[in-house]
Amino acid sequence: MTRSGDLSASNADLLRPSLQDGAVAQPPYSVGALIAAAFFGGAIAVTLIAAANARRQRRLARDLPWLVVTTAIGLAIVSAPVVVGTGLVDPRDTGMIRIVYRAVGFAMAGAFFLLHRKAYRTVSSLGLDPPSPYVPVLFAVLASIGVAAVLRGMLYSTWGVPA
Amino acid sequence: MSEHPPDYEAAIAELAALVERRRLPSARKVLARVLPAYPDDVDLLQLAAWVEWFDDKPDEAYELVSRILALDPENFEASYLLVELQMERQEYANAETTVLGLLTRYPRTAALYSLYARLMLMTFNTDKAERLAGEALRLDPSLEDALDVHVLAAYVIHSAAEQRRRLEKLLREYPNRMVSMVRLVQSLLSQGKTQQAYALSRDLVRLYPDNEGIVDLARSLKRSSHSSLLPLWPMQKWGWAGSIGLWLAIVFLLRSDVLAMTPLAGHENTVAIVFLVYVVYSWVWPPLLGRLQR
Repeated sequence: MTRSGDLSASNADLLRPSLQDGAVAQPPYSVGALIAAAFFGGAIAVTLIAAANARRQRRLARDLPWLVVTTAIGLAIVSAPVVVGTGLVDPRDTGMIRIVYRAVGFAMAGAFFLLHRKAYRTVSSLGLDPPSPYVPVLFAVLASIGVAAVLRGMLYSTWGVPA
Repeated sequence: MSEHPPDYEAAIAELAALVERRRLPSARKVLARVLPAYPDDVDLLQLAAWVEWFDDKPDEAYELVSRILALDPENFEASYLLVELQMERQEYANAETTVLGLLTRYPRTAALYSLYARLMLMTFNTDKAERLAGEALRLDPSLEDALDVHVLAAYVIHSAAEQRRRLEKLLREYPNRMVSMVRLVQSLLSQGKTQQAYALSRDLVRLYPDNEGIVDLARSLKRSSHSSLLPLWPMQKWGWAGSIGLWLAIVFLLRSDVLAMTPLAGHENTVAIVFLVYVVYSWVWPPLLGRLQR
C-alpha cells in the first residue's frame, strides 16, 4: 500500500464519529468523594461511588467484575468477624472492625483511582469541574450502613451475638 | 479593486490587529463605530464574534456566529468558532458533527484536527485525541494548539519523560505564549514545586491581568503556599495518600502500646483531640483562607 493509501485509511478511522450515540463520558466524582465514602461508609460505599463513576465514564460493563469483587470483599468484611472471628479482629471490638473496614475502603478507593486514572488526569489537566459529591456520598454511606446493619442482623439471628 | 471604501478597509485591518493582541475594549470601540454602517458584513460580524468569544461572552458570540452562518452557511471561520462555542455549551455531539463537516470540506487543515483532538480530550477519548493531535502536527509541526493538546494528552497517557519532552517542544516553539507558561505551571505543580509554580503564576498575572483563569490559578497557588497552611504539608505533598497515611499513623499510635513508651503515656485522649482539631482545621481553614484572600 502506498503512503497516501495508509494515510487515507488512518484518516478515515480518525474521522469516524465517536459521540453520535448520545454517549458522552462525564467527569467522575472526585478522589475526595471516594475517600469520604471510604472513611464514613467503608468498602461498600466506595464500591457504590466507583459504580457511579463507571456509569459516568460509560464503562460500567468493563468495570463490573471489579465492582462485584469489591462488593464481595465489603460484604465479607462486614460478616467475617460475626461468622468466624478472624483472629486479627475480635468481633466485640467494634472500633477495630470500623478501622479494618475503613482501611480496606481506602485501599479500594486507591484501586478505583488507578482504574480510572486516565479520567482523573484528564479532569486535572483540563481543569474540568467534577460533579458535586455530597448527595451521592451521603446516599452511598447511608446505603452501606443499611446493608451492614441488615447483614449483621441476619447473621446474628443465625449464629447468635458473640459473648 | 475593493468594493468597500477605504475607511472600512482600515477599520477591518485595525480590528484584526486589536483582536490578535486581545485589545478587546479598543476593538469594541472600533466595532461600535463601523458595524452600524455595515450591519450584514460577514467579516465585521466575524471579528465581532471573536471579540465576544475572547471576552468570555459565549452567548453573544453564538448569536453573531448564527447570524454569519445564516448569511454565509459555508463560512469557515464562523463554523470553526461554532465548534468552540458548542464545546463551551457542552453540546459535544453537535460540535463533532460541525467539525467533521469542516474536515470533509478541508481535509488537510491542521487546525481542524487539533480542534477535533481537543473535543476528544474533553470527552475522555484520550487515545483518539492523541492520534488527532499527531495528525495535526504531521500537517503543521509547529501548530500551537496541536502542540498544546499533545502535551495535555501526554499528561493523561504517557510517562513523565514524554510529558517533559512534549512540554519542552511547546516551550521551544512558543516560549512567551500564555498557554506554554500555564502548562509549565501545571508541570511544576505535578512535581510538587508549589513555590516555583506560584512565582511563575504571578508573572502570568502581570502579563495577562484580565484573564480570569490565570488570576484564579495564581490565587489558588497563593493560598497553597500561605504560611498558615504549613502544617498541612503532608496533604499538600502527597494529597489523599498523605491524609490516609496520617490517619493510619494516628490509629496505630492510639491502639498500640507505642504511646505508652513515650512521654505522652496516659494522654491518649489529648492526642485524639489534637488530631481531631487538626482534621477540622484541614477541612475548614483552606477554603476559609481562600474566601478571606478574595
